Amino acid sequence: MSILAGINIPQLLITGIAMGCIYFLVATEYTLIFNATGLVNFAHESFIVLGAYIFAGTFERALGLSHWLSIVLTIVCMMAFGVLVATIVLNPLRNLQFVTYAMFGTMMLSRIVLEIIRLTWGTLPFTVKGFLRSSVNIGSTVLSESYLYIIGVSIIIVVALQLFFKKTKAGKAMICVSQNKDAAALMGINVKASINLTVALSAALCGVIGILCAPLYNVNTSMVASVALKGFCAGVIGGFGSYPGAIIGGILIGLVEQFGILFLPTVYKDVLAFGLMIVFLLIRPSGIIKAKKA
Amino acid sequence: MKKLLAILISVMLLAGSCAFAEGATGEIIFGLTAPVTGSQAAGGEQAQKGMELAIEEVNNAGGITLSDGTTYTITLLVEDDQGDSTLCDTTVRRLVSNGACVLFGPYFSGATIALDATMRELQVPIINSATSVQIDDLQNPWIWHNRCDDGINVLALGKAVIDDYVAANGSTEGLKVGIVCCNDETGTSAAESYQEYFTENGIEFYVDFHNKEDADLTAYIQKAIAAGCNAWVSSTHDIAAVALAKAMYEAGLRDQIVYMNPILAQTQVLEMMENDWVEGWGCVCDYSATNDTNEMSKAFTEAWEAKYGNNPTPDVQGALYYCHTMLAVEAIRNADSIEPAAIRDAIASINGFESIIGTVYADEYTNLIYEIGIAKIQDGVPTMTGSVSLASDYGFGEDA
Repeated sequence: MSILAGINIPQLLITGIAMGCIYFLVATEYTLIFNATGLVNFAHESFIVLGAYIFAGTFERALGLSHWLSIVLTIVCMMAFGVLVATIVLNPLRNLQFVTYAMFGTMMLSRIVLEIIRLTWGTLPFTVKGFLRSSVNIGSTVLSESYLYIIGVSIIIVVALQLFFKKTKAGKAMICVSQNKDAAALMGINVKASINLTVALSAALCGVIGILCAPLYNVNTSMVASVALKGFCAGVIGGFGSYPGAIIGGILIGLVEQFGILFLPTVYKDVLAFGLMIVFLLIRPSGIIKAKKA
Repeated sequence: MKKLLAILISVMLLAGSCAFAEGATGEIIFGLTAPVTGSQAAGGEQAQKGMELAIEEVNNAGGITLSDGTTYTITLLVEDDQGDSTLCDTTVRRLVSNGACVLFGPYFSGATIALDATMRELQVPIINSATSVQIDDLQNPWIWHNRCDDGINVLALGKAVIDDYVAANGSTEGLKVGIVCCNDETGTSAAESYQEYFTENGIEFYVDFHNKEDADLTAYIQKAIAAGCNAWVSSTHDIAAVALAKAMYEAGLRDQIVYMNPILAQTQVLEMMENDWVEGWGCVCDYSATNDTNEMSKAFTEAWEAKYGNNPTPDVQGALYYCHTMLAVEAIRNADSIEPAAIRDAIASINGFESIIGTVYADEYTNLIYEIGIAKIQDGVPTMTGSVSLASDYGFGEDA
């Protein structure tokens, strides 16, 4: 097609897949909480931003730690934060009479977290210079270090989550809790502890997303506003509550927005993802893969 | 007891008469509406610090003394508009109700245009750094922009692109300029002016727009490359400017002619980029901390560093708002009044006031500045390479 003449297709493919991986990681982190508590965590954007600030603002810039140590400590901090949020917010909220109240609760939590970030780290955007910002040339295609890490880390997370759910007692307990909390409790599973662990995992995943997004978007309180929304779209398109669906939905959005703007003005890039979600809601509301959830 | 009382009253009267002889004192309030919080807060901080520095200098030098003998010191009031045009209406009204006789800000052209009706109603002069050519079209006698508008910037940058290309290739043969701008008022008005300029000069161009907050412009740049662009001009905002630099670097466009709006010269933006991404890129630049050829600019940099150190280092916005403040002080002295209407008329009469960013001339369309510096980024620092003055084209200056 003449419209593709002169376009570096591999470049767009790599970028589309990498962005798609970010979207499916976002879809995965809120799917974890949705499956565990039945709540859509509207505070997930602020969790990602918090992860980025802890990593870049505290461990990298303020304390000057090495990248790897900063990453590990960020994940640990985010897990602890997840347990705290599960204990004082999400566990009480899931027992409210109306799910709408719980949704508003998570929205308010988001505002609180963002205000804490603003008061702690200030308002100025910043970045971690040199972190995941180099690139490798293969012919005319430039493989950005950040995109390669995003794709690699995403694959590791998918495999690790599958192993965790299938091979570990805690993972199997989380699946049971997501399917039927009462039955899980009768089987001797500590439901609250399982939910705490799930939210901790989700928060750690948010931390990883924040770290991966820092070199792409720089660190500021609105750094992942569109990513968080597109991650939600990825979940809906793939099949809400389905992990394989999140992967397919994320990659699909990533590729559609890269290749779609070759045919449309670039300013419609965001419209493509949201338009695709509405099409799926109208035609196939269960998404590409229907979630196997009781 | 009566004697003591009489002595006390005499002393008080004497003290009072001495004070009268030395002249009364008063306070002038300058009001700044700027983003103190939010993603644009760095620019707001620069604006506030620039104004505070200027005000401190004026107050330390004795303030502003009018012909009636009253000496005024200046107090700065700041309102946080978060860079949001919908909040500016409230912030400027609050500043005026708190006694501000001159206003400064807001940060963006869109917000300035949105204040059109409000400023006509409030009748208080407002000075800012907005650059949209649409501000001239408003013909609002209360809004003054003390910075080259996009029309003048485009003339300077369009010429710079052509000059650089001719210097490298001998002629304009084969030159195709990619006009890659943001889709808001800042970008669209600049893109329109660029199209006009390149059409007039017989230069081929390609135009495409991006969203203000778009952080991934890979496909956007690929489209422009496929269209055959080999030189670039852009008018955009901080996040998109970083994304544009990254996308162009990753697309292998490393020795291209690129010129941007003044956003590229801002410290906050350069700190979010790797130095390699924008090495050799040019931009219009009202001020550079490394410019030691301009004595006023050098003095400002030294005064800033003495007051604030390097936290933050001064950038364009700091210098601009320092100049805006000094301009307002000059207008008050010329007006010999602190009444907003008299100050406005004095601003409109300014003709040849020297400032860091150039010589200020007022015209009927509320423009104040007709000259602009050109800088190139070297190791992450904007370095002045020249300047362009169009004052004579508008009937100002010695060449007029």
